[in-house]
Amino acid sequence: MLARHAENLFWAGRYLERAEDTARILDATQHATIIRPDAAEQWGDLLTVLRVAEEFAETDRPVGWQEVSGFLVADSDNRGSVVSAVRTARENLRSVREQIPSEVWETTNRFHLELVERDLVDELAGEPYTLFQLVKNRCEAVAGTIEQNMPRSDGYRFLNVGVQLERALMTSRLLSIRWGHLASRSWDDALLTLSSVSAVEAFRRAHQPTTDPVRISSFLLRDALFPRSVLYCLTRAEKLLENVVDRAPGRGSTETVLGRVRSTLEFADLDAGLVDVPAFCAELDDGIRSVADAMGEQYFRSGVPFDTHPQASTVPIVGRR
Amino acid sequence: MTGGLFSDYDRGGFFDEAIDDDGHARHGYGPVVDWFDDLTPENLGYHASLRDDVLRTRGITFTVYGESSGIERTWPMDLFPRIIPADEWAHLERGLAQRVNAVNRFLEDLYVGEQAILEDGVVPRWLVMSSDGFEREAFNIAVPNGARCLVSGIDIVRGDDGRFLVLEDNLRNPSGVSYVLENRATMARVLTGAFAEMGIRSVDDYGRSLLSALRNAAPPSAGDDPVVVVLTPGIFNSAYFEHAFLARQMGVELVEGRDLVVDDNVVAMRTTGGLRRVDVIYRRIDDQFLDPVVFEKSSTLGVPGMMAAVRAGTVTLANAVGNGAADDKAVYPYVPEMIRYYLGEEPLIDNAPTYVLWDADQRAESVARADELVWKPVAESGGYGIVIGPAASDEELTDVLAKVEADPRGWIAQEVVQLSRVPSCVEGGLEGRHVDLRPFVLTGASIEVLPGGLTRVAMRKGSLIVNSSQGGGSKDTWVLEDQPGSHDPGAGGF
Repeated sequence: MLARHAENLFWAGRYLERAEDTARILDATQHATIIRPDAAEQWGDLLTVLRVAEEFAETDRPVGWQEVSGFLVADSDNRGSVVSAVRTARENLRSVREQIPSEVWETTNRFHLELVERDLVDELAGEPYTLFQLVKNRCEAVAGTIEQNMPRSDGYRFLNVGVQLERALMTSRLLSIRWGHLASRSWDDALLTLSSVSAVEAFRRAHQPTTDPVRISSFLLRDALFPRSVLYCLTRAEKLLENVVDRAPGRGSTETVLGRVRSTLEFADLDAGLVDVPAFCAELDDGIRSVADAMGEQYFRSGVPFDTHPQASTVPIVGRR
Repeated sequence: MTGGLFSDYDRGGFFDEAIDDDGHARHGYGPVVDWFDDLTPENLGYHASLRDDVLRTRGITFTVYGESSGIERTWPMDLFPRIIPADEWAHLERGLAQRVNAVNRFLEDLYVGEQAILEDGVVPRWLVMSSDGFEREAFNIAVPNGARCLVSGIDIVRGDDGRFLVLEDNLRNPSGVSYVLENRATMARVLTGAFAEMGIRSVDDYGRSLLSALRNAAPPSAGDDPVVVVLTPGIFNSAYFEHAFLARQMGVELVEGRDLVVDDNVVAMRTTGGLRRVDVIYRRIDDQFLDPVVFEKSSTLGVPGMMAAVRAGTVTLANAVGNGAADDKAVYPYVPEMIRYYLGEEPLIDNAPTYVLWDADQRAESVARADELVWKPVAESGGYGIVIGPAASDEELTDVLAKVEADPRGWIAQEVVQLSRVPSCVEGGLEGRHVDLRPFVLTGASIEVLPGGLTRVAMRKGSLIVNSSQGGGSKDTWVLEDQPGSHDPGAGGF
């Protein structure tokens, strides 16, 4: 397939995942602050997890629910916001429109139009839960349409590698930021962390309700069954890349890089509780970044530097607007 | 008619394609007129909102330039279809094939032949050589099977007497065919089953026909399985939607200039697996931007070295380079002569009455009737630059006449054709609106005409401007089967 198309699909996958993750983490955080009104510091953490703390600081707005949620959901100047992520995903899909099933394009296009038409700021001030549900549902609908309709070609693989890498980054970032809170061993903190990646039920089933930070971190980093654990995402990405058909013979650097990151995670001695989790997550962050760099090198070759920070990166399509 | 939506219908003194002088539905229109007549304005509004929903969800858009760097708008499609009965279509189809055949022959003669038609003085040599669309770079570049106008869009109108006339030829990058297919798909969703028995000829096969014509034009070196791509200027081009649509319909790659490289006179595309050879390029980029080595130096849309590869015969461009010499509006008046010259036949479809302004006599007569004629720059398309005498202000006329005086070769004047009208949906009712027609003609192993074409409609009351960039809309165009009801119901959209 065309290198440019592969790249567009990769970014579409990343941005769709980002939109969904943003809605999920906002929903969890907003819910937690109802129970714990003192939780104002959560908003600052949220900006860090979503990698837009500096951009928010530049707006000179106070760090409160109204401002942060508006920035993360409705602000079209913030290229990492939900509206922007969906718009960018749509633009990337639009430029590969002949490569993807019409259903995938139509579902994404409709989602984009729906967000543009709604008064998001108003909804955030009123019943944000409904809005977050809607965003999550629409993202799931797009993902479902992709699963149901898209041929298992290289395009499908590149799109989903984008999804998996973005998801892995999100979980690892979340854990790294929340690690300090988890030390309190309060259930509220455990709950907020787990629900931010929809892991509450899965965690309870895997471990009896415990607030042990080591258990929580091991679960989020490398549970074998939970689809948002970092290890699960990396393994999935690895399988997808293994199956890419249209590749130059003898060029496999991406798999080597990814294999190294995955095995470091797999064999780290996490369960003894001796590992510096934030430092370990930072290393993972770098590793995932280097995987995407290797992809650019091996498959896309357009020289777009991979940055885990969508606002600063030269994103195809949006970068040219 | 029962006193429904058609009860107050006013033909306005024009040729109405649906309703005859006695107020009856014309041949072929009966079921459609009855169906619409039975609707209430609310029904009509319901179907219109359904249509808007379908078009928006499917993202069927076009881009208007000049409004803050290009606005993406939803494609305007009127619900009332335009119908062409089988016998009228048969005539049009023959006439279009004849015309495209002659033009292909002319371009072959011009670029790789003896220039016999110029030698014989049938078409003035200076006129062709001075055309903006004439390309020296195209000399001696053979085109497989002479399919220079692989895709043509011929603009057809009907005047007061209902006769078909050719208004202009589009032989470079005619666009609009995607909307023909999308209009049909939309109508099938919005008016589901309403016209199941009508016997409408399918347009769904266009992608396959186009691909087959393109493969037919592959260079011999391509072998049995030529690689075809569509080359687009990119996502911000006004016809990008169509470029993506056609690539999807054909199942081929949609590439931009930056996806292609020329190595050793071979064009290749960059894929995830490395470079892959390309044999046929359906390019939707104008000649001037194809290759910065020989054309516009600053262009980044094309590919350096492309023309050298074309000249080396390793790749075919469709349409061929230099076709603008034949669709120059000052050359258009000679197309009937080309038909007589190359085919020894009389043209089946006439040109609209046209005056060439480099001729002093014709110019003087035209200038004297400036406010009665339509003034067109010869090299523009998309309706840009046109001045319609009867509708123009004194300043506009003075301005255009000054331009004509300065550059008589650069303009033509045409008699105003009072375009035929078709009932169209306006504010809960039906009113006549002026239409034209752009059929699409493919030169493959033989010449093939897509049944119907793009009907454009001037939605503003009284307006003759049908361009979508200027407030025009469109209609699904139904060519009827020979025997109504005899079609295979499984084959079409209805």
